[in-house]
Amino acid sequence: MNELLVISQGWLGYLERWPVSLQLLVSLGPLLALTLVGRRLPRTHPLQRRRRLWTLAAMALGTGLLGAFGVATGLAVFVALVYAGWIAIGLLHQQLRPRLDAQVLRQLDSGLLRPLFVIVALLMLLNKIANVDDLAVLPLGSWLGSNLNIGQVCRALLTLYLLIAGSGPLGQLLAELFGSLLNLRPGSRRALGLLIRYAVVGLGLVWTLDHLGFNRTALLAVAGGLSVGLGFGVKEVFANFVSGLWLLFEGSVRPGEVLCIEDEACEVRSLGLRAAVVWRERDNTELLIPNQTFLTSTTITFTGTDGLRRCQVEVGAAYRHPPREVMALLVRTAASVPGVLAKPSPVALTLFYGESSVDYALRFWIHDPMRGPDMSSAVRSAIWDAFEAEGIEIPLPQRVLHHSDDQLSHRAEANVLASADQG
Amino acid sequence: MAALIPILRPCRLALALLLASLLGACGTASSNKAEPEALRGTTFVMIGTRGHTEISRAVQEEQGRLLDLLDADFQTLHPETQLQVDLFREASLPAVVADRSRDGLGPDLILVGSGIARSLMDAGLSRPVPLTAELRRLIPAHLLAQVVRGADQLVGIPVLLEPQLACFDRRRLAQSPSSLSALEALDERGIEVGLPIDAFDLYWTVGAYGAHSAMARLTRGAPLSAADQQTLLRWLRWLRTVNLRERVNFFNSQEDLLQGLLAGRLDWISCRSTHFERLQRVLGPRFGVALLPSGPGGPATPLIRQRVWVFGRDSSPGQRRLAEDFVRFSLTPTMQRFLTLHTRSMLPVSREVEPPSGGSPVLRAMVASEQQSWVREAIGPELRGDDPRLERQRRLFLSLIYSELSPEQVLQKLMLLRGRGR
Repeated sequence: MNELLVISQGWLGYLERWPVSLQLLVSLGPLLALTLVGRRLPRTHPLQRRRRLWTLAAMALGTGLLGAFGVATGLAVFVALVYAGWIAIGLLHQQLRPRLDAQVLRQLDSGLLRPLFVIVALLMLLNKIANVDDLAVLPLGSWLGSNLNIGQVCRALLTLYLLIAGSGPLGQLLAELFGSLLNLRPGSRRALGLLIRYAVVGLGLVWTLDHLGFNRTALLAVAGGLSVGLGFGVKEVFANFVSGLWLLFEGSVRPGEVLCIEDEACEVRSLGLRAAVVWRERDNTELLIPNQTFLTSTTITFTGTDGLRRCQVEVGAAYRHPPREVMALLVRTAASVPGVLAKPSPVALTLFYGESSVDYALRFWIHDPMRGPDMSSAVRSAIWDAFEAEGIEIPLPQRVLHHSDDQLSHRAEANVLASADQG
Repeated sequence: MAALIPILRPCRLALALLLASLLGACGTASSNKAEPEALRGTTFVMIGTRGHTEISRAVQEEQGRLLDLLDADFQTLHPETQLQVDLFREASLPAVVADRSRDGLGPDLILVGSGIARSLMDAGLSRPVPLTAELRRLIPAHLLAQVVRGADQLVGIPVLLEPQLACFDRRRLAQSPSSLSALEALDERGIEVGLPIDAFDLYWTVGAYGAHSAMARLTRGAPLSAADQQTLLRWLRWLRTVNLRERVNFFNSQEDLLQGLLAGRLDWISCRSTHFERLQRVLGPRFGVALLPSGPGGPATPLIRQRVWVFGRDSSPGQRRLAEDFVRFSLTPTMQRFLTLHTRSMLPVSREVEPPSGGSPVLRAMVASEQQSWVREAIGPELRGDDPRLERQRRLFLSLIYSELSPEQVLQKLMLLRGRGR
């Protein structure tokens, strides 16, 4: 490690050369200056909107001048190209924004593209001032019976990063492929994708440790020690992780499944290492529920055996309308609403003979469990229209009060006296 | 204008920093001129390696050892100096230096073989060195001849010599064979022999078959007489025949040969003196060194590897002076003697240092190998590590030993290859 520090300190020696300093001046100077100016200006200022282009133009101009005077320009061109690449990623982000889901785009941009770009740019810069292959064999020390060098550790970290960042899209792609072949449901596909991701990351981790040449016995000993640590220290986290894996295998709480939480249908967005993220449509909130909760308490799911949901709408009709006619009308009305399934067919039931109306229930099935409230609203509206058309009254609650004769004469006298006072 | 002042204020610090770095660079240069005795700063050095397919820690230590020893003593005189060393395969070195020069990040010093030193100069990537009377006095003419350019310039300054010898495992073999027929006979005793396929490292067998002059002419692209062709054919036939022996094998790189001997898979190989330290460390008393075997045409003709200091073109004035002082320091009799005796893997180039003959049998063998190298016509500079024809030549030898091509076909192709020019 000391060797690396001494070497990196030595690179500053390049600044002794005036062509190198000049190149840094013409490339980093505009970048720094225009960035600082940009911070002071409002977003709507013309210079602010085209700041990056101006920076690039200033870099190109400076580099061109250096070239014209026969000064080396490779470093300045490199910095300008890296900056242009960075701008290009930003433009790509803007182009992809309408086409991709925001979360996927964020993962792609800040999780994969930008970090990879930075790594490649740094490696290229390093290759300009040193031999990367030569640096890679510098020793970092010994750990668990294995002599590590910089190259091994960097390769291992890069592999792990790529596995973690890249296994998600890869897993989903493979899951979609297998899913379409095996006709799996969307939830199962997402679960399969997650399982593939865990498997790839797990195998990658083992491969990486093996590639580093770690003593396997020592690794087993560490794993044993960790197990004890897990048992005492982070057992909740570990329990949630194992619960997550179990739920994936079991299939009850997979991404895409619809659960009933606090009497509302919520969609499972993701099943993470510690918690499941569940989306509630009513207020567009996401609930983070520890995985263990699903394993230890009753979970109501709309998508266990199939994805159908049965909804119920209740309505009252006046006593003068025969229940058979009302029930037939209700069934016809429900069947006419788009989104209500023909099979299983809607069913109407007479529930109660109420105080002011005969109460009916209309049960119908829909395909998307998350659309329960929407569809119930649509069916209620359709019932209103159908009752209007057929002259069926939805009665208001009525109460008939009967008074005795004495009470009536007292009240009449009181009214007469009150009128006289006013007159 | 007034509105711009608050905007420009934060830029001043950034601009001041950048200007300070630029002025600092100029300041370093001017201060160096004012005080010539004060040496400080970093010298960027590239080392070219040959015979290694990839750089390992062992190769890094082996190749960097010379500079480590020099730097340690140089720093006692000039503590404010630092060497920044990078290792590259010689074949890729001209391209790397060209890339770095485009960035202004070229090395101050390059330590390479004389062939690559010439390639770097031809490509305009290095600075010629005036051939001074002092250099003529210090370095023997036959060494300067390999790096001379025109009448009064050098492509680099020779610093050390790496002879080629035979390395073997004493546990398996009491004495190294003195002739090629004895080497072949080792096969019957169950001794594993490793030979290089690279034309530069295989050249010692050419002389043993008396084909060195013909090979020298072939390499230079000169026409070959019928007698030349016959001697070369005799050597090529031997290459094919010897490979048919069960325990004699050809290897792609010198590093493969070394690894074979270190791991006990091979018992006898041809090697370079720079590998002695690694072999000695692993094999201990089992490590044996001897001259390469002679053949029916005479003694072996090992090609000595002359390590040459080449000056880069991108140095600042301070770095240039530092590099020149460092080279001068490496040529002092004290350092030449110290490096030879301390490493026992390099020979001095300075006339002021007598070849160390007494004491170590390893040093004696190295001196004898060096003398063998200069007896015959030297073609070292013609076999440049970056010459693409070397790789094609290696493939032709491979085709020969795998009997894909006959010796006659290989000779024809070699003549075409070398006659075509670079």
